[in-house]
Amino acid sequence: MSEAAIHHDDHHEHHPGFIQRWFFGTNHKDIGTLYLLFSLVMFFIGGAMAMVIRLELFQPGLQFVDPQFFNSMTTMHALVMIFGVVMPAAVGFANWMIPMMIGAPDMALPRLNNWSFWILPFAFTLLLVTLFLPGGGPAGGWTMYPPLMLQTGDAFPFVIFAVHFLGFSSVMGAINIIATVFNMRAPGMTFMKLPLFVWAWIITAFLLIASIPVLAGAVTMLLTDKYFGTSFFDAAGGGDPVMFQHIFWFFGHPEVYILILPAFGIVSQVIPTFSRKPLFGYESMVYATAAIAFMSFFVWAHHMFTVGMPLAGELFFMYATMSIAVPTGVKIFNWLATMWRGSLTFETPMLFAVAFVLLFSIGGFSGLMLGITPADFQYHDTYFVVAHFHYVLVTGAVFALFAGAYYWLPKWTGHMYNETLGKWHFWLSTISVNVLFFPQHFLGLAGMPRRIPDYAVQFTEWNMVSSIGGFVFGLSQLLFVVVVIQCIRGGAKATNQVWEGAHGLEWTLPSPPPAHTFTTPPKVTDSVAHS
Amino acid sequence: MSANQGKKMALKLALIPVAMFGFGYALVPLYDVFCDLTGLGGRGVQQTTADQIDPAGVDRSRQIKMEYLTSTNGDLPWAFKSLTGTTRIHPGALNEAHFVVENTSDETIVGRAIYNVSPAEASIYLSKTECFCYTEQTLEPGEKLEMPMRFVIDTELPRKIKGVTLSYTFFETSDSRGDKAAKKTDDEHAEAGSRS
Repeated sequence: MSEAAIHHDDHHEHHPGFIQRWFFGTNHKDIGTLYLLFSLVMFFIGGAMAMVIRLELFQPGLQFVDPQFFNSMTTMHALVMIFGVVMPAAVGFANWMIPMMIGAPDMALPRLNNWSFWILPFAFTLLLVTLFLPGGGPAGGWTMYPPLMLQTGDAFPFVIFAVHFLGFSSVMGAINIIATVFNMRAPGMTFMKLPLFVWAWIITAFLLIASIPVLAGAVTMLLTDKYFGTSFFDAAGGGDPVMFQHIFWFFGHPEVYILILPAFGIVSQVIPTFSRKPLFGYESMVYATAAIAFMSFFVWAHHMFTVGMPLAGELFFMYATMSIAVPTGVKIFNWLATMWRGSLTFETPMLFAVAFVLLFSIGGFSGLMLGITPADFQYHDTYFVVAHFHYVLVTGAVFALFAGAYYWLPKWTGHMYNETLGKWHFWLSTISVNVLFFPQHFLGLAGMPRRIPDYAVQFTEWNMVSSIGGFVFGLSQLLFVVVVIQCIRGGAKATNQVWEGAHGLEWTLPSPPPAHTFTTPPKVTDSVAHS
Repeated sequence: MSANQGKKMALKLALIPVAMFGFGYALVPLYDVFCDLTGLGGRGVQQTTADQIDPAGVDRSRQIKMEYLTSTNGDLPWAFKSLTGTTRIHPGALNEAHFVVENTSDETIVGRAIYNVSPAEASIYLSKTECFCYTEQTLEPGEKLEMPMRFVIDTELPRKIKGVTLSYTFFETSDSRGDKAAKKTDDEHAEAGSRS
């Protein structure tokens, strides 16, 4: 169908130089690659910080780093992993896949796209140089609560402006994605035919443009409190530090769905492919995703049950939080039902996707436990919280990103990746990540607080286990880099469809796709649509 | 073709983040309203005068356990404590508690006490006729100051509230010591005072 258009393009293809292509380029595929490589680099920077944390926590007492540096490691690890790894990787997938999935030649605003990406390296330069400033990096936690955050030294304005830049980047990226999906769909690609990954991203994009500016406002208030004499959060001037927590989490809770919804989208592509069945309950998936996103704006105070809210507030936020488990349960059910009686095979993407469903559910359940107000008074700020959000973010978001990377690598590079190494990567990661995070549940329930470089001796054994799991998990990720490099360099030739059970417009294109695809809109038939 | 539509839509969409940035700031007055309604942050406390208290309106049928907490913020070198221990009072009666603050440094320092009430709901039923928290306190090196605080708890106080804790924290406001607090203008303090 679109073959003719592609060949036509090949002859006229303009071959830009290296700098022209990678620095000034506006091609959605190249920008997608840049996003993904950037997030891979940041994954190892943030991972190195996690290694420092686990090394220090290997045994009680202070061994390797001083407490201030330890706290700046926990702070920076979070900022790097959230804003530098999970979000850019999800945007990278969106850039590569959304135009190919909806039959568009490129993103709606290609030059804005280039700008969105190139802000990121500057923002992270600002953030990472703080480690070398006098006074060190920010150490008040990624949530930046005043008054502690206001005691940050020279690093303070760097962090604030880095957050502003990151906000600009993701808001522009989100606007671009919405504009693309609403205006650039191929004829016949109706909204209810969109692949679920695209749906997940539209909803994520709306969350981004509605919540990131609130964070920008909150950090701007911090900035003016510190340097311009305002008293938004300063009790001495009539402000209230608790108000920061409300404003921050009004952004912060939608943010956690910004991190996980694209992952839901990826898994919803991968599972049907390797189950050789259409996705079960497509429409309920769309509505459940939208419901989760909408409800995420009304649950923020479950992050701050212990600040002293009125009883009615505690109850409202508890019930609202628990009710999010309903649409999330719908999604888990649909993934399981898709696999039910499917003709399953377990290639690496499927392994990561199945592990995602299982392990994300563990994180979901510990989330329910934390959502119970009276129980939360016990769990608040302990390692139980750390275990919870690493289950949803590492075995949740990051595993889904791995699933997506293995799933689409053959399409991107034109080569099959090394399946044996991929499986090694999966099994080492899955075993070690549980050794790493599962004991943290026990530590948290026993009362070990987060963000402290030392601990009471009774916590030693599980911390050692956790650290060993951490080191193995960290090292295992090097295998992924090997797989990616091998796959870019060569390997068995990938077919257009790559996977036997893959359906959708992107699989009608050659692997790798030429620089310009769908310059003539494709014809959308039921056989190439999602189901 | 649709690229132009895309640009138009992007411009319209850009209004959402602009509006939401504003909404972030709008949360500040909204939070104030919320605090006024719920009494959160001690916001419900009223200022009154002794002659407005009806001596006949004392509810002798129940007692409320009052506790007084004192603290100083940051490195403020003041020793601040309550001279009144836990007391049991009747709603409707005028009560007095005494506090003492001493400047333990060799500098003159200006400070101001900020208060809070727990449970927050109780603050709506609390009125003060006199409080050192309404004005700034200036203490010479080594100066010691005893400060009274008079208050009444309304008889309407819900029966489920058996005890009320009043907490005071001294913040430094002096210009002379050149720290962050010094940058606060008098206007803001006046504003903070008017909310009390």
